[in-house]
Amino acid sequence: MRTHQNRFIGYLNSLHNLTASGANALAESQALNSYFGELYEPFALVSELKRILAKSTEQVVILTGHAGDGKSTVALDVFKSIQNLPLQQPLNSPMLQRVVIPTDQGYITIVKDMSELSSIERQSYLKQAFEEEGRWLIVSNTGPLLHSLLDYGESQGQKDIESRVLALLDAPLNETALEQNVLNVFNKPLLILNLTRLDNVALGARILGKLIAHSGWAECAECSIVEACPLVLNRRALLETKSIVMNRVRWIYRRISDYEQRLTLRQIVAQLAFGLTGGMSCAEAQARIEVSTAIGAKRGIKSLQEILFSESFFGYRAGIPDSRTERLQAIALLRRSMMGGPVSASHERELIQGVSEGWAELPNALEPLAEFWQRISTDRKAVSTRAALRRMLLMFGKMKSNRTNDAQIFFDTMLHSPGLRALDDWQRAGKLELSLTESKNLRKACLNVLLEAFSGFSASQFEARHDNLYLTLRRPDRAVVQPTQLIIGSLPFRDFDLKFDSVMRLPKLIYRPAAVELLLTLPLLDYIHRRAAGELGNDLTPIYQAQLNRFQGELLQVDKIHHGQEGEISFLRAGIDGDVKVYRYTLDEQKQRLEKA
Amino acid sequence: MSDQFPPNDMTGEPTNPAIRIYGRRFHSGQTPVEYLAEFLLVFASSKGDSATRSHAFELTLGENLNRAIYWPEDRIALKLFTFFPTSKLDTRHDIHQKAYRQALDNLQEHIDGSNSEKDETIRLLQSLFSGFVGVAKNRTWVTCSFLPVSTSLLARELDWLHSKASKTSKIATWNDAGEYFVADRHNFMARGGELLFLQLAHLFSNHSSVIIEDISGNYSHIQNLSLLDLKSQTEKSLLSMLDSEILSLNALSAFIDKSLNDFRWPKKERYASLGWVPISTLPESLLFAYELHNLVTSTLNNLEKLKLMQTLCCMQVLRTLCFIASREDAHSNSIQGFIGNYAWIATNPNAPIGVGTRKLAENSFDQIEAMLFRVLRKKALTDSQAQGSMREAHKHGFEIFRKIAKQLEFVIPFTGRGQRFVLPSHLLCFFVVSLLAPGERIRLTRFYERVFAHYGIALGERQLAAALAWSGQQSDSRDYAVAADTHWIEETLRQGGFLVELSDAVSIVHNSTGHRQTHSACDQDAN
Repeated sequence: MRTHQNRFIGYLNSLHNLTASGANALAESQALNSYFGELYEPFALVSELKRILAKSTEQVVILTGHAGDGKSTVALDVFKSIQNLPLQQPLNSPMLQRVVIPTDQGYITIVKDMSELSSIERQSYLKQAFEEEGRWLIVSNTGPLLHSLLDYGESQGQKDIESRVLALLDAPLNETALEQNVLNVFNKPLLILNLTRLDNVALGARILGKLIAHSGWAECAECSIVEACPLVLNRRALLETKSIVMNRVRWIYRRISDYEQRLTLRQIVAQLAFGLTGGMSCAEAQARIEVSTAIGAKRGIKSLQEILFSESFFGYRAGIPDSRTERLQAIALLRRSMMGGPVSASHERELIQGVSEGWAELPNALEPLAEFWQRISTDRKAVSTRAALRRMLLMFGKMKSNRTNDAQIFFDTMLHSPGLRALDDWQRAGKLELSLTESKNLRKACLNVLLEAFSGFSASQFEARHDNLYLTLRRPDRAVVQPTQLIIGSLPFRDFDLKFDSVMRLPKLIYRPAAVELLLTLPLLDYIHRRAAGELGNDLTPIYQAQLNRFQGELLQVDKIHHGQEGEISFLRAGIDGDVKVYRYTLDEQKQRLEKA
Repeated sequence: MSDQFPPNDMTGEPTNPAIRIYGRRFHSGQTPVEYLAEFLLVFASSKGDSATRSHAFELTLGENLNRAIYWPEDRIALKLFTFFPTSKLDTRHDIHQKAYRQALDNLQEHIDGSNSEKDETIRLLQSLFSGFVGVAKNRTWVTCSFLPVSTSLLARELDWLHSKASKTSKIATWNDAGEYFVADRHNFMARGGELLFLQLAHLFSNHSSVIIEDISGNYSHIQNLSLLDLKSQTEKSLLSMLDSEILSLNALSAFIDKSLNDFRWPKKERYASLGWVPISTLPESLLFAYELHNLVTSTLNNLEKLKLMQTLCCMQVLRTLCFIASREDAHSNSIQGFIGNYAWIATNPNAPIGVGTRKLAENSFDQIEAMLFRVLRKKALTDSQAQGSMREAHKHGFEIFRKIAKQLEFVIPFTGRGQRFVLPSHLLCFFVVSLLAPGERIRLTRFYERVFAHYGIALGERQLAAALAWSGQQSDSRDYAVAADTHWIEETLRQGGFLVELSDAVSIVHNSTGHRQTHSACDQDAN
């Protein structure tokens, strides 16, 4: 056997832009690539778009989003799908700027990238799209789209559509409810789809699965160094724990997306591809193995620790930050979250005593490396190695059935998010999977946080069995302490429900009598969990504080009916012992009497 | 025709140059809370000889034009009950102490329950009302003011002539003390709020069609506004804020007030006269009205709205000063995209020394102050009726700008060198909520244009270029590149939840204090 250059490895390295060969990142070249078919993960949007374009009413569909979100891929798929071409197969030639496809219902025009046209051409396309017969699918970057659409609107006497168009661009994108994104001001209905509003976290994890299982790896079997090749060892570990790694990657993407910034599909793919190869080519791997003095599979360990998925995915090489990776947006964002710090004293002890003693089982392919790292990690100075071990556990660790609690603490602490795993479960199930008691506890935790935010008193200052959310006249400037607050609304906890919002894919707290909702985004959910666990000092960031204020404002709007019985006045008052009590009075305005109720 | 509103045949009355220019009057001693409190007090009081409609931005002028009056409440009993226990010791007159004790006894008679329950209730009420203190500082109880949370907490300024009262031995009863409470001093409710009210009353009494000529396109959002709708919706929202949404507080105040019937201000003529505003202030009044409307019709809770309205009142004072000054100032060039013909260049509050925009912001502040100073001097020289103390004019027509701007944290540092315009996060968020209609979304670049069109604050590149052209500063390329960095604004807006990034090139600013546009709003489009 001789060493072999696997072209698939080259392809993977062309997906991230850390080396000179980043050419395959664009949809246009992917469409012609033979490896792409197997990786291809169709957007659910495509079939829905095909249906809409076949409807009897002619529509104009505009597809927009960040560079790398998949606009061109969707357009390409619609193109194939209308012509009944198999989606997985590459095209023989690149798609033209504008294609017109005759169908039974008439012509469908697809414009691949309107942003590349001059503004005059754009106006002319929009004019044709809306005023002549036929259905249109137009792909465009958001900036040029907005200018052209608003200009066209003005030419049609529609001057005030900016806010409405922007509202549609800002609206959540859910494949099952696209009618929500229609604007009816022109000759034809205009469907605006903004791919940046598409949740691509789960898609990213599925792509990782496909990258791991890709048939392109088969070529490696012909290679002489296959037993020790770090690329193969890395992939073997991933294959062994595929579903586990996919879960963990999804968690991490969820966290980046909800706390930092949404990643585009291209950024996700780049990070995953880099995670698989660490930027290493076959030739480099081969050179490394050749100079190794170890024997057998151990020849690859030194190189493996530099490209192991749990290292390169986070932008590290054997525990040391790899400065090249700052260029990958996903890694740059991940660095801000500082994952890898110590979890607890007992977890640290297990890390040093032997990973096998801990909560996790590691794949066989990683055992030699885990042992190696553990041996050197006992050194006082080996901070970076211990962090690398923790990351390895985070990515590859399989929970032992008798140690689930320890594992959960490990995940929640490493990810800095106590609500993340549950949220992920709910999003996958499409509903809240909570027992009655769990649901009741979470609801109470939410309402207690609201009570604290609205009144300024800590929930523990209230009576143990309090079950009302009080809305009080509390000064926003906090210029003076208000130990006594007038209650202007009192809402029983039982009138609130927790539900799952299927469009936003988030849990929400609903005030049932008036359908006022508070979306529980991940940061808010985490804050609630932390407060319920008694953590102090983690202030809510202004953005979420503002959300709570808005919720309060909305509750007050509907709560006008809820001011209680006529003449009934109640207060919250903190006594000198700190306990907050509710005082109720009856005021008889006719007789001019005030009486404690 | 008079160039004042309300029309005044005393136009020729000699006063100091600041009043001649800016109207009657701004006073540098007025605190932000009291600008708002006075503004709302005039709004909520009955006006005119016949004490007609309250809660309205209109004046009913009788035949005697000099009688532009309103009928404010004084709430002296409620103030005695709330502020006396914490009032400054050396201005508590014996009669006040007596009255306070008597007042508590009277109140107790209207409360049911045991003695200890009565005491507890009184303590509770005192604690409640003292939580709404607006300004107390070092003042005696009757001059303290409430936060204007409800109509029942709106009160005119009364002063206690302590030295005079302590020299006489004739005060044996509450009624005897009456003449030592005076209402004509305007030390705290110093007519600034009146002036803001008059701007709106004048605007809404105006029937000319074009108030702002929209040459730049930056004013398209207010071109088709109906003044009638603006007025009625603002009035309705304010009425509901101050009255119907806060019934229990009003009921409690009324209960205290009635129970303390013996402690009223024993004066018959209870009306107050209004000052005047130059009629040239229509454009800035329209901007003010639009912003106020956005604030009061948002879904924020009422106390949040009040906080923002307080900021708005102060910003309106600053804006009015500059609008009028640039009209008076022959040196002012016109400026593209803004009708005010002045510019404020603001920088990041955390910009380190040496950053280009920080220097520009310092220069900009100096230029504005120079303009304010110049017009005062010019008025003193050219207007024969501009007499009186130049020192007063300087204080209330020049130093006032710096004072209010610093209270708002719009100009820093509070003391020391290098004073400059900055935009802290609370002001940026205020701009979103006041300049965009509730629920409205606009592009970030349009937001910069709008901030410029309303306040002359240059944020984006184009506005900065226009501002530099106005100030005659050469925009050397290095500063220009620094100034184009608006990253800090975007970050602040994002932190406040107002900025949505659509793509690398397009961000939108969303005033999310509107009624939630759920999917049903989009559904309507679809149908």
